[in-house]
Amino acid sequence: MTNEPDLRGTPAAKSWMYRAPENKWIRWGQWILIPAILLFALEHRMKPWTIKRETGYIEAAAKPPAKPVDAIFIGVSRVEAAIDPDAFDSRYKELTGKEYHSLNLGHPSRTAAVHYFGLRKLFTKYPNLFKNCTVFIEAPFDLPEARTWQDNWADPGYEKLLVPLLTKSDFGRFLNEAKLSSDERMLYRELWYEQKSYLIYYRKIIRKQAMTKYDGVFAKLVGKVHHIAKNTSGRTLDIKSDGSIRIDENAAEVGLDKAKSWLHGTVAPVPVADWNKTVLADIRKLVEQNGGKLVLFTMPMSSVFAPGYETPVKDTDRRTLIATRATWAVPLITATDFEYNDSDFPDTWHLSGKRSHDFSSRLADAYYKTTMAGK
Amino acid sequence: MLFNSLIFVPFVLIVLGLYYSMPFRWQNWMLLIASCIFYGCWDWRYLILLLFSTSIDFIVGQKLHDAHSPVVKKKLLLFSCVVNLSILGFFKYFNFFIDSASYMLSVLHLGKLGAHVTVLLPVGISFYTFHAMSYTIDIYRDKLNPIRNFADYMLFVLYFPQLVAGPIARASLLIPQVANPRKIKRSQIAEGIWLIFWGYIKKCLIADNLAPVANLVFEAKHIPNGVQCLLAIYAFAIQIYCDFSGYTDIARGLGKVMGFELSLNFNLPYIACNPPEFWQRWHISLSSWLRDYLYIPLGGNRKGTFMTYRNLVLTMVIGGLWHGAAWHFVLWGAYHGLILVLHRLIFGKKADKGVPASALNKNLSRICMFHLTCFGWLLFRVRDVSQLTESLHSLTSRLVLDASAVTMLSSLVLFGGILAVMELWIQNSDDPRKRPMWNMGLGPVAVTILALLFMLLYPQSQQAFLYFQF
Repeated sequence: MTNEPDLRGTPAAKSWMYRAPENKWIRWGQWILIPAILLFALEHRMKPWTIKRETGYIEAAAKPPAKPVDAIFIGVSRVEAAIDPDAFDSRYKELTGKEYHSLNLGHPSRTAAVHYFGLRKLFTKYPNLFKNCTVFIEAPFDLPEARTWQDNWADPGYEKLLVPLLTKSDFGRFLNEAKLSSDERMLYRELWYEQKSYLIYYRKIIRKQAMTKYDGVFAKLVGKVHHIAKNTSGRTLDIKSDGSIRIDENAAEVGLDKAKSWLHGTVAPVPVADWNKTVLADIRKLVEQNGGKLVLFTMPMSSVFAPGYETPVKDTDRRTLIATRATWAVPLITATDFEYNDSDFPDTWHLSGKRSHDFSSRLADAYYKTTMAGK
Repeated sequence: MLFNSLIFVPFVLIVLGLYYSMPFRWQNWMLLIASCIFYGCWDWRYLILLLFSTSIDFIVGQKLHDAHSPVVKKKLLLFSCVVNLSILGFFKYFNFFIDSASYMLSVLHLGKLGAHVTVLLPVGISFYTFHAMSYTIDIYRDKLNPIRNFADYMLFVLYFPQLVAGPIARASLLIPQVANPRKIKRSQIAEGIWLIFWGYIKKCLIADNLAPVANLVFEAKHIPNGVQCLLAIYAFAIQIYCDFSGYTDIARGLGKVMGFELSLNFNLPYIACNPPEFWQRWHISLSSWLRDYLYIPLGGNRKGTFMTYRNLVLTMVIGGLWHGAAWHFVLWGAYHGLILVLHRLIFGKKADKGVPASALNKNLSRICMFHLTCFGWLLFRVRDVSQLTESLHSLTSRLVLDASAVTMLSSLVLFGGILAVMELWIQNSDDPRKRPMWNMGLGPVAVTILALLFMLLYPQSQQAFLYFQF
């Protein structure tokens, strides 16, 4: 290899703007120092922002609740939509005369395994705040999620919800126990290392947020100059990357697709062999070790999804669960006096916000009745 | 194997590691094997085709040099050209011509042609055919001595960075670099790394993010409205430039880190003031190939005004057809031929100089030329004639700035802005260290910001290189 290029006679030799620092430490050092400073500053800036975005366990773990928690509702986006913790708390207070404080940690595609590790994180980090906490887990049409540790612990596309909750030994156990494809293994390994940087791990959320903000500012700027005609063909929410409940006009279509896949048996196509070997059983143990109890609650669902719970497989599951539940002493509560119809599910999948207050109050009634009956 | 695929990274690292640790002869063998693997990843059977055509050109090259009779020489050249163009014609244009002829016959109520070949187009066939043809033509013209080592000749044709999407290497430029030991300068490595980095930024950050903006309109059943159509054309103009020049930059950068100097293919084409200048800046290796091996042999501008115009249009039509076997490419080529002719008609003998004197004139000419080019891109991008007419109707009548258009505009401003800022600063230099403030800390800042943007805004769906289909 020969030496540096001869820049004599070029503009580089003429003006200070073109000159490289003579000291080689500065010349080369700037290529390490400047990127390092910029990346560190951004990473530091991103941390609180990404935590805020990642609602639920990470946020709760980073910023504990102000007062002790009596109950936590867990499940997927249906729980996130249907449970109004304030309504539940105030109704329960009316009934018992005691202050009650609950949290809704339902989230799109948060699996039983994700909830298991999330709850464990909260119980370990804030033992006083979560001591004796009751955990309500969704069981639509009486059936909670029947995933075992041999299944994928996260829903495809939502792996990022799981990885930050795992310890190193959990992660090793996950790779050993769960039956994962080689692509899935590679993805999880990638995420395991990526999580060390907020900037990398949450890049899709950051991108989405930044672009939405940028688009908003841009639309405002353009709007000041031009009249913008309204239309409906703009960007729609993407349930996967947005991590929230869809309310746009295509949501019902997505809901129907989901129902179809449910009906065709792609979800849980065989009966549960043993409920004691499900993740649910371990959640129960975890909750009871923390001094609390597990409560199953049925969720209102539209008629679109009802046939998915009326198959022979589901009937078998229901029967075996009833037998197991008796040995577990886990109550199943249903807000029987909550009346609803399909119009209460704008996307066929989630209970509308307007009805969540009512449902939560009725659920508090049902829970109160169960606790009273137990006494 | 695509430059933007994950497998390409370890492939290149292994190739470079082996390359630096080997003596010259071994380097060539290793590069040849690597190039075969690179190409064979698409379909190994096309390697046989490639081996066949390169063997013919290699033998013809030797014979051409040894032959003394001009008649024999001419026959040999003709044979080489026929073989190369037949392969290209069969794989790329057979179905196109059969379909077109069939359509014509059906219009004239004379029946239909049944022949139709279902065959996959060999990747980069247009590039390596022109590549190989330049070798025999240059020997015929006594501009080049034939290469005696078949492996070296194979490497000249197959060299993987430029095999599938150019730049179309001239034998006279590349063969000496293949046949002689290469000295790698430090500056070459620095330039190579920069070109690879900037190439990926252009392709993966800018082109791939603007592709959905253009597709939103051109992939839709109907053109939404005039503003969206206009923005989609602008987006496509930037997309195709960044996609293709990004590929070329990566290819040239890879060449540089191995001590090869591949020819420049793009030189800020959108600042061209007139059509001839545009073609001196856009896909330079193709336009100069067409000029030297087609336009000039046809007579160039030496046989009177009419023949000059005919030659211009013919060359551009063939250039359009080179891009793909479809009528809209022919139309695009003809359009460029026509604007070259119109430019000559308006500016006469000044046409080749033709750069307006004042800065205002210059910039107005640039804007005009950019829009003329954009109109060409509309012809290039549309699916069919009905989409073209619909687009033209929208552009002239349905100008509505709606929410979708604002979203498209915001993407265009962001990614077009990144391109404009960097291009104005770096000025297409291979060595950004020669640009103002680069060494004063702005270089590391720019590279860090671009890398961050690359990471954050890397599109969820990767797009294949547009020019791979050619």
